[in-house]
Amino acid sequence: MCRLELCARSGLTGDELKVEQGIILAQLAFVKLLSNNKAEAAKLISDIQSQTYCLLLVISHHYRNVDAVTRAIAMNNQLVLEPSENPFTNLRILSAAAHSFTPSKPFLAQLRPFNANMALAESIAKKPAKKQKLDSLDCATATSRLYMELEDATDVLAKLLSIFHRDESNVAVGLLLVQWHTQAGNRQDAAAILERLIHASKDLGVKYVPGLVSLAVSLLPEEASTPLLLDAKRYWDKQTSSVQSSIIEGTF
Amino acid sequence: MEDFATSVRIYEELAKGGGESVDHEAEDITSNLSAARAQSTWTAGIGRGQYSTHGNDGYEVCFNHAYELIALGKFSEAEEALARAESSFLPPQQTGC
Repeated sequence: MCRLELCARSGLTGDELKVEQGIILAQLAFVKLLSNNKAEAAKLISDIQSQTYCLLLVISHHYRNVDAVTRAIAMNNQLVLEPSENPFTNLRILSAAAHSFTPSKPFLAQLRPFNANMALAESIAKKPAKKQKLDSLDCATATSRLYMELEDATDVLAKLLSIFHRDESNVAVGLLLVQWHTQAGNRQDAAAILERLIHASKDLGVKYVPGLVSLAVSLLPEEASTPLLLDAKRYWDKQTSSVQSSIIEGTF
Repeated sequence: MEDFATSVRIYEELAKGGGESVDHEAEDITSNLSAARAQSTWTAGIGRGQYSTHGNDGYEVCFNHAYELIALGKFSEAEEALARAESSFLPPQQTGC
């Protein structure tokens, strides 16, 4: 089926069709990336960037335009797949992607991967981190800021423990330590860190966030995790806005 | 405000009303409901189970459904939903999401 025929049958103009199909392919590339099918993801992203790609259903090559936001998402995902060895190149590409993406007024959840990647790229390029208020659950950004602090450390574990000792409510550092101990098979040490993290969390919205509670249920003994689970339920029951209804419905 | 759970509840209530007073109102409500559900799933990390699309399996609904499936880690189903999203450009003869 040729493109003109497809346009006629769909009722979309050629430009509208290009934009809609570009969005679908960008999303498909993301799915391939998450499925660890890197070769197909890279091909799709490259096709979107070069504006030459096959339709999912129609085996035919067309030259087409992709809108700026879709292109920005593709650029971001391409860097995840194939980062340049030059950190300044990565930073420049990410900056360009963010510049195209931000004017579309994305939701916070949509903006978060861009911010996290930017923070990481800035750290690798030795560019001082911006003094912006950190979302306490934005672990990717917080972790990327640790990069420079940890890069020259001769004993990374000791350094992480030292940072955690200063602030045991630091979710990013706490989770890094939990992961470190878990990968090393030190389940008891991982559980001890998690208990300290949960105990130190003053912000109940963080303390009872589903991911942390779920981790606690899998790591801590039942006598410790059950009261936490019930406290979390009581906390989310009292909330009247935001995501709590989904959490209550899905978890309990 | 990004309060997606509340917007899901509101759209669910509106969907019950049928939305027949304005042309394509039901389709718009279903489409917005699917978007709110998908974003709510991404935000809370928890799915909300099956739901009826009221026969509206158009591009937006299929695409939003794929977005929700990705959040739940159901990548194969998400791919199928994306293929259906593209097929929905064609006349309505395909199966629903």
